[in-house]
Formats: sequence, structure tokens, C-alpha cells
Amino acid sequence: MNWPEDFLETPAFDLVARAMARAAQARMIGTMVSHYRIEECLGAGGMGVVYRARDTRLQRNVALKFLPEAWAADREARAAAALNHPNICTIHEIGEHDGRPFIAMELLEGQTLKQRLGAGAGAGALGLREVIEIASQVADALEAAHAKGIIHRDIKPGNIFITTGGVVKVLDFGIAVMADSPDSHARAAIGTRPYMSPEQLQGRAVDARTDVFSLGVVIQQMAGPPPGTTAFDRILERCLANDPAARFGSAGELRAALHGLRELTFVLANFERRLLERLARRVPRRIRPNHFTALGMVGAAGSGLAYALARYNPAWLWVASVLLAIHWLGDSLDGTLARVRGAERPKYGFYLDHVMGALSVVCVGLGIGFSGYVSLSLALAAVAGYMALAVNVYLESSVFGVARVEYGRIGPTEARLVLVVVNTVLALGVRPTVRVANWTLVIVLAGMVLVFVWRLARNLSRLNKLEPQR
Amino acid sequence: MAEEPAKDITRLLHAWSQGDDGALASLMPLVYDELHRSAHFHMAREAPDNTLQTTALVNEVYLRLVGGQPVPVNDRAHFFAVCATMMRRILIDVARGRRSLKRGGTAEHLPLDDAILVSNTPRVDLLDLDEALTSLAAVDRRQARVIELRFFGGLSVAETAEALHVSPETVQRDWRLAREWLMHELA
Repeated sequence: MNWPEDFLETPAFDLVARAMARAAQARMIGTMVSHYRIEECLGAGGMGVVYRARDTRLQRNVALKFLPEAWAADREARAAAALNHPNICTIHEIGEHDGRPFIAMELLEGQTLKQRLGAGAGAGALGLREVIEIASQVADALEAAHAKGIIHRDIKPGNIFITTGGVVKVLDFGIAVMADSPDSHARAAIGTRPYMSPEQLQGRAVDARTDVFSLGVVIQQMAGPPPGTTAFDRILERCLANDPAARFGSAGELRAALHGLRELTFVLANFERRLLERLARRVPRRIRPNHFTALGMVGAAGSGLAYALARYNPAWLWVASVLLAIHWLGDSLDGTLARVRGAERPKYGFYLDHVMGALSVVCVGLGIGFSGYVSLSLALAAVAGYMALAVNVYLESSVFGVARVEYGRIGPTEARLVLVVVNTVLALGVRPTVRVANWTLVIVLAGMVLVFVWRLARNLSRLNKLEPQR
Repeated sequence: MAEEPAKDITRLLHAWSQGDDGALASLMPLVYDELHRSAHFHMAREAPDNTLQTTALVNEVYLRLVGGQPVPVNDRAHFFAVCATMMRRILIDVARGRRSLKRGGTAEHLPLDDAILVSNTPRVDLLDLDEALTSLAAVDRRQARVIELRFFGGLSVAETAEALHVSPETVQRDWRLAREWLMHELA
């Protein structure tokens, strides 16, 4: 007989109370609350029970959350309800039903960060890239709220929602004031203590920097054991300083620092981002991000072909340059477009991006190899080396949570620019460039082999260290 | 509710332990209110995952029953012991869905099939456990008392030891043996 370990460990009083809670939840199904028809209990969490409900007036599905009876909408809660930001869960209405306050809000599909961390493979730590992605979106939300004078006060994984499309939504803005409620039950169960800033714990006045502290704790929890990037550690230090004055002054500063981490590879990052955002705003609505992904692929395949044709006529090098620019446009604009529109990225956007990136490198690399300007075997070796590195990076980000940002400061944009310059020089007939290009390729190849061997050795030794713990 | 004098609780408990069943009827609404509070608390928050926390909760219920007044130190063990027995009676009544003792109107009907499961694998409910515990009392009274105090009363090992005037080690051993016995009986 398979008895659970905790047989009789939960007091009967508690079992009965839970059964009553379940029964009360079940009774709610089908009832009308204001003009909402309760359809399903989505679960309890954060501040109260959440139901899926049908708004019978506007004929849409919403999430309905009941709050503790003592809760009353104050100025801040009403201001929070007016917040409109892609990373903040939209509040439709604050109401009351039978003396119980409720909030009708945007119905989200996905899971909370708490669930994500709980369901995560292994130690529950996320890859650095994902940590940065989630944290920047939360910081974005905080910045918008702080600008309106709203402090969240209860930033924790349970209040951070990740939709199936990967967009992060911060929940419960403006209602966390209850955390200090006189109700002893509520106080007894505040599981958010580890996320509270020192000034909050001591009951002193809090400002935006208390949210920066809490987000720092969340970042630390997401990343797990320190990933060993000094830039990352510095960011954490500046979030978790005991003295608010030593922290980032605002969520915006934190976000900028996180972005800096994400884009270490891009020397031209800031200029490029501004340019792309300006372009993205002019794109007609019927053109979707995926169309640009496809355009990028066409650009890559086309430039590969143009390079190969340059063997017969150097004029094709001009074509290759133009197609490289198109490749850049498609490759970079898809993500920017999604961000500018606040739309959810396609479900497999992240992976698609990686696969497309690898395919593009293969196309262009092979094209260059067949152009006759550089040695074919060198070009093939470089393509093979790139693939080996890419697989290695993928393993690192999935197994060890190390992001590719550590590889260097030359990103795809810089690489494309160098190619365009070389194309131009070659097309103009400057022959010595061929030798320079070949030698550069030799050096790049040697560098790739060195990095690959070094990283592989490091990964293998880490893998050895991981093994005994299983 | 508010005019219910807090010190009466101790008197009612005493009267009931002397065999006055009417006293239990007066206690019931108080406990029922506490159950409601606790149920609301469970609805509002993710279920606490550690037992220590819930044990503290039940203790808090007792303290609330006496209206925050200090329980006399020499009486504490006895008070908790009587509370545990009362809890058992009342919780079993709730599990049976009996409304007789409850105040009208607030009576809740709990679906018996999945309500108050003590264990999911195998499925055992509170009523089966109550019966098994009565059989255990016939075999070993103290072991049954340990289960009653700890499971129904939500007392800690130390409090149980204090109430039964035995060492915590004895409580641990009784707890283990009684659990084994009950598992066997309920399997």
C-alpha cells in the first residue's frame, strides 16, 4: 500500500478548512458577480482567488479576483487600474459583490514566474538570456508605474506572469498595500518576506527603489548560482544594496543596465536600436514580424548566391552587399516590430531566430567559399567552426545558463558591415584585399578552434561536477 | 458573537469535559467561525506548504477562542487537550454534514465524496479515520490520544507531551506506532 509520507501530518482543522474553501469555490461557478458570470476557478494566489469569468456586457473573457474583505480601493489602486502598459496586466474594473471587493482584469494565458521556476528543469534556474529578458520587461513595467507614482511593494515570482507568447505581465499593481493589513492571518502567511527591502521590513517609508530591491531578489532567484559574469554580479549588487541610495535610482536605470548586458555583442547597439524602432513604426499594420523573418532568410540565401556568382563577374559583389543589407533588415526588424507594437512574439520566435541565424551563416559562408576570392576549404572550415560553436553555446545556455554574450563584442551587425566593406573594395578591384581576407579567415578560424576547445573543456569539467549531485 | 464573553470558553470547555453536551453546542459556532476564517485564508492564498505553519494556525485559533486572554500556564496543557477533543467532535460533525449544532443560515454543505480527505492514495476520509481511531483507543488509549491531540488538536510534539505528562520521545514513538497501526487498519 502506497501511503503518502505526510499521512496525518496536516491537522484535521486545516483539512476541513481547505475542504470548505474548495466547496466555496465550487459554489461560485455559474453565479453572477456584477455583470460577470463565473466560469472556472483558476486558482488562488497573490492576494486572492482568481476565477475565469465571462463579461456578459462586452462578451469577453476576463479574470476575476476576489480580495480580502478589509481591502478598499484607495487612490493608488485606482491610479494602478488606469495604467496602460504592455507589461502590466490591465485592470478593467474594481467592484464589490456582497461586501467583497473584486478586480476584473485581463485574462492571461501562461504561467506565473513562480510556476515557471517550480517547473524548471534541474535547479530551477533560468538561462541568463531569459533572466535578462524577463527582468527587463518587469523593469519596464515598474518604470511606467513609478512614473505615475505607483509603487508595487510586492514584486515576487507569484506576481510576475509569463504569457504563452513570452510577454511578461506584472500583476497586482496598487493592491499590495494590504500586505501590512492588521489581519493576523494575512500577516502570518506573507511568504514574500525574502523579497522585501530592508526599509520595507523595518516599516520605514518606501519609494521606487524598494521595487528595485525586490526585483533584484527575483533576478537572483531566476539566475540561481551566480553565473560568474562580473557585469551581472554588479547589477545584482546595485539592486540589493541595503542603502536605497546605493541602488539603481530607478527601474529605468536597472533596465538600461540589463539591456547593456544583453547587447554586449553589439558595439552599434544603441544607434541600431533607435534606427530599427523608427523604421518599425512606419511599417504598415498588415505586415507582421514573421514576414520580416522570411525576408531576412531570402536576403541571406540571395547574398550567398550572389557571392557564388561573383566568381564569374565581380559586379555580383554589389548585389551581395545589397542583399546583406536586406538580410540585416529582415533579421533585426522582426523582433523590433513585435516589441514596438507590444505584440506577443510568435510562440517559437526565440528558437526560430536561432535556427534562421545559423542557416543564414551557412548560406553566406558557403557563398563566400564558392566566390573564388577566399580559399574554399578555409570558408568551409569557418562555417563548420561556427556551427560547432553555436551548438556549444546552445548547450551552455540550456545546461549551464551561460549566455553567448561572453564570446566577444563583435555582433552580426558588425560582421555584416565588414563584409560590405570588403565586398566594395574587392568589387573596385583592390587585389591585395584577397590576401588580407584569406589571412583574416585563418586568424578567425584559429580563434574559433581555441574558443571551442577552451569552452568545451570548461563545460566538460562543469558536467563532471554536476553529475554526483543527481 | 461579540458579546460572547471570552472567559466563558474555558468554562464551557470545562463543562463539556464534565459531560455537559449543551456546552459543545455553544462552542460550535465559535469554532465554525474560525473554520470560515481559515477557509477564506486558504482561498485567498496558496496553501501553505509546511506543516509548522498550519500547526501555528490551529494554536492561533485556540487563542482567538479565548479572546486573546492568556491561558493560565498551569492550565495550558489541559486547555489544549480539551480543545483537541472538542476539535475532533466538531470536525467530525462538519465532515458528516450535520447541521443540527450549527447556527442556521451559515450552514455549509460539504460534498462528502471528496471533502476532507485525509489521504488521496488510498482514499481515506476523516470519518473512516475517526472510526479507526476509536478502535485504536480500545487497543492503546495513549497512542489514540497522541493522534487525537496532534492530528485533530493540531498540537506540536512538545505540547502533546505536556498534555499527556510524558516525554516528547514517547510521543514520537506513539505517533509512529499509531500511524503504522492506522495505515494498516485503513488500507
